[in-house]
Amino acid sequence: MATQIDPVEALAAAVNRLYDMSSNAAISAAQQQQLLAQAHDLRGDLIALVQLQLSAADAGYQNLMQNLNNVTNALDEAEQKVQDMINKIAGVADVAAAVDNLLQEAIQLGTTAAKLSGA
Amino acid sequence: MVKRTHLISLVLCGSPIGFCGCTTVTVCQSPVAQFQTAVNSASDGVRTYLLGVNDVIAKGNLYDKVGTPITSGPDWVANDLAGGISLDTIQLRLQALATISAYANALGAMADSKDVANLGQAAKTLGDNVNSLSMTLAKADPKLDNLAGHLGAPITSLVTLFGTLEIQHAQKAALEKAIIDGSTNVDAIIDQLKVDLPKFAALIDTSENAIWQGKLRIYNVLRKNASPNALDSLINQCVADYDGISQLRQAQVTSLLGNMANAHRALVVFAKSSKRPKDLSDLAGQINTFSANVQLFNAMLASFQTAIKASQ
Repeated sequence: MATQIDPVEALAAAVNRLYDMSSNAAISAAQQQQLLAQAHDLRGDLIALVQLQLSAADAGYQNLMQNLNNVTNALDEAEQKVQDMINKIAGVADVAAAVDNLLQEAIQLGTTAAKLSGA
Repeated sequence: MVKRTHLISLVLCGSPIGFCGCTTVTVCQSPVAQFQTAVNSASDGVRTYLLGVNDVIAKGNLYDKVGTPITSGPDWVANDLAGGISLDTIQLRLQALATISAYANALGAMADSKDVANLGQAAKTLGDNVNSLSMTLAKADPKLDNLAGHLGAPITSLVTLFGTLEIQHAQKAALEKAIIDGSTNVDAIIDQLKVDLPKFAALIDTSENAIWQGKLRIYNVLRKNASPNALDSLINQCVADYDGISQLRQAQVTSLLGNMANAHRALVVFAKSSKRPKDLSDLAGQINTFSANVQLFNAMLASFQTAIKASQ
């Protein structure tokens, strides 16, 4: 099976060959200029071809990036869940502190009430 | 005595404490962090490479016109400086790399999370508060005195122990799931970049050829009237110019992406493995190759930029 030639590679090779030939002292200055002008034009075509091929792949990138962002977000959410667990423990600690305060106040009230009734 | 110490070490290695290091998230920290660092560094290098492409094309456009006589040749026009590849096109490839970096950073954040340390503080506060509550209860009912002052420490230990196991299990599970879930997309992005970046390389290559041919023409005009001393500095300048131009040509962006793909594949294999030392060393080998390649690539770019600045 014949290997498919990449048009970008083929065109780039032709452009480079033209540049090399344009500096060949064995050919006339006019021909050198002609070769240089052709190299310049073909290099412009190469840029246009590359831009066209790159644009064709843009939608695929958007899709892949969205999928990978979803995975990254899921990872961030998992991290948040672990943090939530710690917050819950902190919440239970707060409840214990609040109950403690209430009990201390109740004991204080009971002591005061006992003193008052004794007096 | 010595034998006894060894025996204790062996028992510890086989015990849950020693085993923790092999089964929990800690075993993933180092390779994930290395992967994260190398991906971020590679992204920076490719960013420099891609953002430079239009500069090189624009220079090529202007140097192309050096070969034609000023009287009959085309003028320099603003379009020469446009480069040719739209910024959106370049930005999208950079965004794709940034997406892989963000993913690698999220992996790193999860692997290196300080949640277990935060849990320790939360558990201690809970223990202290329960202790205080217990003593208050003892004041209210003296029968509870035995309990007072004895609850805090055990509660702290229990919450820390079970909470730590739970957090590490959750971290490890989330990390492995993310590595496996993200693998197809990361591979696909790297594969697409491996298709695209050689196209940029072709543009850089031909444009550098244009720059070099133009520069040679200028040097050839200059050397005709140069004194021996001026000729010497002209040669030095010419060699420096050539080195600067050829550095970017030698930056092997495709091989960099190939090593990134290999390192990522190794990370996926590791996530699915039973995390034996051999699995870890296989992974470390691939990531080290990738890291070394990134360093080389970035060193070449840095040397290219130095050469550009020197010639300016």
